[in-house]
This record gives sequence, C-alpha cells and structure tokens, in this order.
Amino acid sequence: MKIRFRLLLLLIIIMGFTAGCAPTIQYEIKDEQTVTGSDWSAKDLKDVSDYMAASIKRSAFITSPQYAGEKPRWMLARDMRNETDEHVNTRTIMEKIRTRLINDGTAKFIDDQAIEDILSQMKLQQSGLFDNKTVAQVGKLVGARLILRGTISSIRKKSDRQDIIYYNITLQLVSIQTGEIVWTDEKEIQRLTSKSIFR
Amino acid sequence: MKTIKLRALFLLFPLLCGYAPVCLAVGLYTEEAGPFITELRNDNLGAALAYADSFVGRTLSSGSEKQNKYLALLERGKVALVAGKYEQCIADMQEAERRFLTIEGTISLTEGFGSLLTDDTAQEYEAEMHEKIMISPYLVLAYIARGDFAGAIVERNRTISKINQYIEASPEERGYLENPFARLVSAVIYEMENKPDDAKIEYKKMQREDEVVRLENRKAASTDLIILIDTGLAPHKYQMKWGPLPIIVNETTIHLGFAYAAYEPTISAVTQTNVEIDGNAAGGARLLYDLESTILAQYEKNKPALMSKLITRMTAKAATQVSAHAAADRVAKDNPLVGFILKSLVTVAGAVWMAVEKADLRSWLTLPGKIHYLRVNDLTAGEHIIKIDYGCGVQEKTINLEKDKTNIAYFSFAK
Repeated sequence: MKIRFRLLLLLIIIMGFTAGCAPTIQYEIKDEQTVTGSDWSAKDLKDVSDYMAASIKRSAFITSPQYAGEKPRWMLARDMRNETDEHVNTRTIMEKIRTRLINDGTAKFIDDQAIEDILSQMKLQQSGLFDNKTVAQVGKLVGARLILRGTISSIRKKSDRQDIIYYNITLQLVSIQTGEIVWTDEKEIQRLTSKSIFR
Repeated sequence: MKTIKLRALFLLFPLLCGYAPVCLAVGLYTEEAGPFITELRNDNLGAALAYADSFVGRTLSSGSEKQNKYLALLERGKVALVAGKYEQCIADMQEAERRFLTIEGTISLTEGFGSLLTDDTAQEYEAEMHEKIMISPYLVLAYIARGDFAGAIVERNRTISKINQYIEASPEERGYLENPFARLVSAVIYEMENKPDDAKIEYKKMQREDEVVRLENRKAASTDLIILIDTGLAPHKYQMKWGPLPIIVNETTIHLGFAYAAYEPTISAVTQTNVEIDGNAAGGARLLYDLESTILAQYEKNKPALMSKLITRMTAKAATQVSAHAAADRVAKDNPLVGFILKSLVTVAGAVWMAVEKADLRSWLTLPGKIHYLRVNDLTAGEHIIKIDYGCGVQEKTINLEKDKTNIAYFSFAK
C-alpha cells in the first residue's frame, strides 16, 4: 500500500513537470487536423475550393470553343452571401477559387477591389508629373463579362453534447451582359461532433 | 480502514490551510461586481466600463480566473454595449459564448469533487439557458450599431439556433424560457434582409398579429425606427447561510452548516418609458420581455437539484469530520495528549470548514430586468433626437435614420 501510494505520488510529480514544459509546435499539419468540431474549418475551405475549381474547369461552358475564342474576363462578386450561423470569411473562399483558376490558366480576372487604387493611380499619372512614355494609358481598362458569385448556408442541429452541421455552398457564374447563369454547382459538407461528458 | 481515517485527518488540515484563507480573501461575487453595477445604475457609463475592465483584470489575476473569467467578460461585454464600445462588446461576448458552448453538457470531475468538499464557487461558471439565449441578440445590436449587417445576420441565425435548441426542442418543459426580445430582434433583421415571410413566422410565435398584418399590408418601403429599451437590472442572488452548528455524535463534536443562493428582484426606479422624437411625443414603449420573471422561474426549476447537492455536500463534510475524529481517537489510545490536541484541531477545522462555505452568487448581473420596445413608422430620413423619460431620469440620443430602411436604436437605463 505504501509503495503504491509513493508510486502514485511520483506519477503526479512527473505529470506536473511535463505539463509545465514548453508547448510543442507542429508544422505541416494534415487537413483533418484543422477540423476540431462542427464549425467551419480550413479543410472545408480547401475541399470547397478544390471541388468548385475542378467543376468549373470541366464544365460545358469553359470547354466550349466560344469561350476559348473569346476568353472573357471574370470578376468576383463583392461578397459571398453568408447564411450560416458562423462568421465565415467568405471572401477567402472566393479568392482561393480565383487563385486556382488563374494559375491553371482557366480564367482571367479583373480585380474588383483594386478599382479605386487603379483610378487614383491613373489620375496621379495623368497629372503631368510623370514621363508620358512610362505612364499607364487611359482607356485601356478591361471590362469583365462574367461574375462569380455564391452563397454559403448551413443547417445545424445541436443538443448539449452533440452538434450536427450541414453546409451547402453554391456558386454560379453569371453573364454580366445577359444575366444568364452559364455555370453553377454546389458542394455539401456534413459533420457530426460528439463531446465527452467529462472535460 | 485505519488508513482511510488517517487520510480523512490529513485531508482536513490542507483544506483548512489552503481553502480557508482563499475564501476569506475572495469576496462574494455580488460584492466584487458592486462598483460597476453602481456606476451603471447611475448612468455613468465611462466609469462603469472602467470598473468592469478592472473587474476582468482582477478576475484574471486572482485564483478564481478559471471559474469566473467568462462571466466577467460577459459583464464587461454588456457594459461595453451600453457604452457604445461595440468592438469590445463583440470580442468579450463572443469569447464568453464560445466557452459556455464548449463546456455545455460536460462535467469536470475535479471541479465537481472539489465543490462537494468546498462549495459551488469552486466550479467554473456555466451560463444559464436564458443567459446563453440573450448573448446573440445583444451581439446583433452590436453588429448593427457597427454597421456590419452581414455580422448581424450571422448572430440572428445563432439566435434562431439557440431558440430551437433551448426552447422549441422541448416546448412543454422549457416554455418559460420563451424570449420575445430574441424573436423580435430576429424578426427585424429578417425584415431588413427583405424576408418578410421569415419575419412573419417570428412575429406569429410572439403572438404579434398586428406586426403580421402590418407586413401583409405593407406596400412601399418606408423609413422605420425600432427603439429597444433595457430597464433596471436582472434579479440578483443573495446568500442564505445556516451554521456552523455544533452537533454531538457519540461524544464527538462535529459541525454542520450550509450556504445556498436565493434570488431577489433588483428594485428599479423606472416607472415609465415615454418616447419623444424631435420634441414630439411618440408614445410609451411597451413591455416586450419580463426577463426578471424568466430568471426567477429558471431558479425555481433548478432548486431541487441545488438542494440535493447541498445535502450531499453537507453529508460528505460531516462524514469527513467523523472519520477524522475516529482517526484522532485511535491516536489518543497510544498518546492521549497528542490525541486530545488532534481532536481539538479537528473540531476547530470542522467549524472553520463550515464557516467559510460560500453560496454561489454568480449570475449575469448586467442583464436588464425588463425590455421595452416601440416601433415608429414612416419617419423622414436623416438625424433625429430621441428622448426617453423614465420617470426617474431622462436619456437622449441623436440617431441617423437611413432612407427606406428599418433602423434600430438601443437604450439602456439600469436605475
């Protein structure tokens, strides 16, 4: 009994020391490790952007000769509509998809958020202070013909220790000229998280 | 058996040496929160926020950080909302809410065991259901005031989720938690989002047929104003203490006692909520939500579990004292003087152990006692001065109304 008590005491002391040590840092974590519960995670962001980019690339509209010939410019909608109960950075979803499409050569985008900076820089360059041979020429801005927009929504069923989440992410590519949806797809994500009764 | 009794003896002394001084040093929660509550009641918002800040700081640097941190953040968040510091309000309330939802439905064995041997203040504060519901609509107001409509929509969705989880999942059992304030805020955001059908659902659940009719008859967009007014403060807990009372059992003196928390309403001096807009009477704001009644009803529901835990704790403490006395008796057989000293110490330790037990007086004190609202339609866009006469004081604010939109103005008068 005495030996057991001493062993227990020793174990507690060792645990105390190890608990007091510096935290471990892990680089290059797996996508699954970013999922810590039912809330939106980095893995969800990656899955959605991979799926949507792949769907756009193989769509009938993108693979059509007309698209290949015209190569219309795209733009992102200001925001992806967030109808979930979480503060998800929806702009990140859109920008991740845009990055994939540009780098794959599938689409060319105009930067909707740079317009003000561009206009103010142009105004400055036309002020007469700059060498005319080096300034950007007025009247050469390219207009977008397609706009990429979307919505993320969720349904959550929560009890004390269980959280079931269903995300639905819908994207569509719309012609600015005609208003026609030329491509659309949706991605569903479901997850069930159970908490232990003890914390 | 002998070993168990000796362990009981050695349990009592560390508890006395470690627990008693801490208990004596740490005051009751309502006393600690007193300064910012007083300033809030006097409508001195800057001072209230400063005291709330220092309250959070003291909580974080005290031995009770783990137990009280998130409640302290909730208090500061509410004061920040009233003071117009919306970023602070959002940060504090969201951090507190995250923790409350994380620990919801879980049990900490160490805290549970600790609270059996000491009192409920040893446990991390778990927000009541009515408190968890109230967080999200206040966050809606903070996001709206900050001009972040997307954020307000998210918090509205969270409000609806909580109503579904806590109320609609068991309507017979949890009907007393019905929260017209949360529903009204949700309905207004639906209207602002141009989703009148969803708004009508919430108004119907609030049994506000007049609002449903208004939505159905609405023809053109108009500039409307919703005025939400918090008055008074939520009921507060006070300590009911009994003992320590010496009881003689088999020629041995043990001490019994207990402490538990009961609620009493926080008296409000507000007698009316008469609204004036630009000097013209707009009418009295009507009572939307009597939160005081909900809190008192919640307490009555919790009472049986509270009493059961109280009795278990008292029994455990009594059993520990009996065991400690038995161990001291065994020592006395070999060494009467040492045994006598030990028995005396156990008696004193038992008395102190009962004396330092504190009731858990923690609750979200800065919640209002009542919430009122008034809707004024077809106003002109631009700046307006809103004045509210509470009977015991007046508040005035300048609001800028956006054209053809539903605007929200939030007031809080805690007197």
